[in-house]
This record gives sequence, C-alpha cells and structure tokens, in this order.
Amino acid sequence: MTSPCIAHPIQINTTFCYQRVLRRFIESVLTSILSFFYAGLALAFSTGVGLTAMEEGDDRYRPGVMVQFNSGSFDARLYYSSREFGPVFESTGLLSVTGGFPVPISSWLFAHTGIGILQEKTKIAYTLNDSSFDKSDVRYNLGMALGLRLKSHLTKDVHFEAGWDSFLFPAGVTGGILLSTGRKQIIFLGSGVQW
Amino acid sequence: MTIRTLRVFVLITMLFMTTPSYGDLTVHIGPASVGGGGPNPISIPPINPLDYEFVWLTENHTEWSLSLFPGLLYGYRAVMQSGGYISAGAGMVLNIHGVGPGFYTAFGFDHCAWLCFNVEYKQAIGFIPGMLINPYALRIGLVFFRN
Repeated sequence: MTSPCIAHPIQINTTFCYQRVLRRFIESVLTSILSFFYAGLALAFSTGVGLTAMEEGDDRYRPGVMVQFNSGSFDARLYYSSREFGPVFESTGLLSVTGGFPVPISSWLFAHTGIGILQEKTKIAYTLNDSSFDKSDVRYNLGMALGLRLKSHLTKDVHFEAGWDSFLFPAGVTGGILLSTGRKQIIFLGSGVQW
Repeated sequence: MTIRTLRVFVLITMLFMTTPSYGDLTVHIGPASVGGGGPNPISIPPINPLDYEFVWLTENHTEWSLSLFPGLLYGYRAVMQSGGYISAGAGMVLNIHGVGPGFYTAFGFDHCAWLCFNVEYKQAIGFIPGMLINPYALRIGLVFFRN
C-alpha cells in the first residue's frame, strides 16, 4: 500500500501532507473517545458554579467561588478564596469529595460526608530590588468534610442549590486524641446543569 | 469489689439501658470554638464547664441542646440506618463576641454496646448586631436512658 501522501495528486509537499494525515488521525481518535465516553456514560452527571462565603475560625467571611461535579450521590467540588493586602497575598483552596444522602425531613435536603483537602498559600512580595525579603509558604491538610445542602430543580436540567459546608482538620498530631481541630466553614449559593 | 457492690453496679447499668423512657440524654464533653480561633484541647482533668453539653432527645426525634457554647438550641434529628444522624434547628447562639438568635446543624454517630457512645460535630451561626458568630464543637459522650 502506497503512502497516501505520495499518492495524493495535489500534495504540496510530503511534510504538509503528513501533518494533515496526523491531524485527521487525532481528530478521529478524539471523536471515537468522546463518542465512547458519552455513549458509555450511563449515569447522568451535573456541573455547576457558585459564590461562596468562607469563614476560617475568626467570625469573618471572605468571598470566593466554587465549581462542582456531581454524579448520583458522588460529589466533588472546589472552593477558592483569596485576598491581597499590601505586599501580602493569601489564598485558600478546598477540595471536597463526598457522598450524599437524602435527609428524611425534606426531599430537597441532602447531607454530605467525606474528605476535604486544604491548601493555604501565603506570599509576601515587596516592591524592592532585593527579593531576599520576599517569602512564600504553602501548607496542606487533610480532614473531614460535612455539609447540609438544599437542592431544587428549576427546570429538568438546571438546578439551584444552597449549602452550609464545614471542613474539620486535626490541629496537630494530638488533635485526633484531644479533639482539638481547625475548621473552615463555607456558605454557598450556586446552580448547575445536568448533562 | 464485693458481690453486693457488683450487683448494685449491674442493676444501675441495667436501669440506664432498659428503662422505658420518653427520650434519652447524651452527656457530651469536648472543646468548643468560641470565636477566638480554633478550639483548645479538651480540659485535663475534664472539669471545664465550657467543654460540657447536654442533649435531650425525645421520642418524636426532637432534641434540646444545652451548653455554654454553642448555646441553647432546639431542633429535629433525622437518624440513618447506619447509626449516624443529622440534626438541624434553631436557638440562642453564644460565643465570645455576643449572643443572638441563630441556626445549627449537627452530624453525629451512636454506637451501643454495653454502653451507648456518641460522637457529634455541632456548628451554629448566630446573628448579633454587625456580624455573624460561628461557634462549633466536636464532642464525644455517653447516652443514658436509651431504650
């Protein structure tokens, strides 16, 4: 079998032809993967975004954003909040992976329990020629995620939700023994689309 | 321990375990976050009144919670088959910044063997002039009078 590039009657040059073949190959592979994924995905899933207010143990709420992925009772969402004051930049990222179950009180209420992963980042950057005074610190923690959420469908595919989530982290090595914890609390409003 | 003392002990334990009751009482102990940062460790010995909470659960699954932090609360408890439960309600919420009306939720788990043990996380949001207060507590305890 001859190469399609050599046999092609209007090829400009072999390199350009092979690029076209490669592109068509990638397109066909991606199309196959996407169609397999879409056809094979028996469970409906939804994605959404929202606005959050995050409290970090000091009775002060900081605005943030949220993105979420939900499939059946599985729920994963990412919360992010940051602030900048003077040379200091702080950010808090929380990833929660939870399983949800309906609360018998109402068909709109769902409780979620699972794990939470925390990233806290602090940067101090002075506008000086000497960067030796600049500092950067990133901390991680693993804890428990607990949430109570209200979910209501506006249409068949669009839903609205409000929630009150908390993340408990052990405070130090002895935190689990002495029940000493740190907590991030999030109140959010969001909406999502079912696919 | 004499046999007489042992008999008294067994009778008291059976009293707590089998008395037909109109509810049960959970005595919790654990540090609360009172608005000045995270909670301090549980008091050793456990004599700090800030660490204690009493929860009275009625047969209708309503509950009264009494503690200094997060406060005096009344709500409803939904029990799951796994032994876990979730509660929600309202009441007077208190922390170092003030006291005001508010809401609460709680997540807990009961495990009954020869005694009933309980672990619960409770969080509340209260409304005071100019701000929201957010006390919470992670506590463990014993359940009495459970039928």
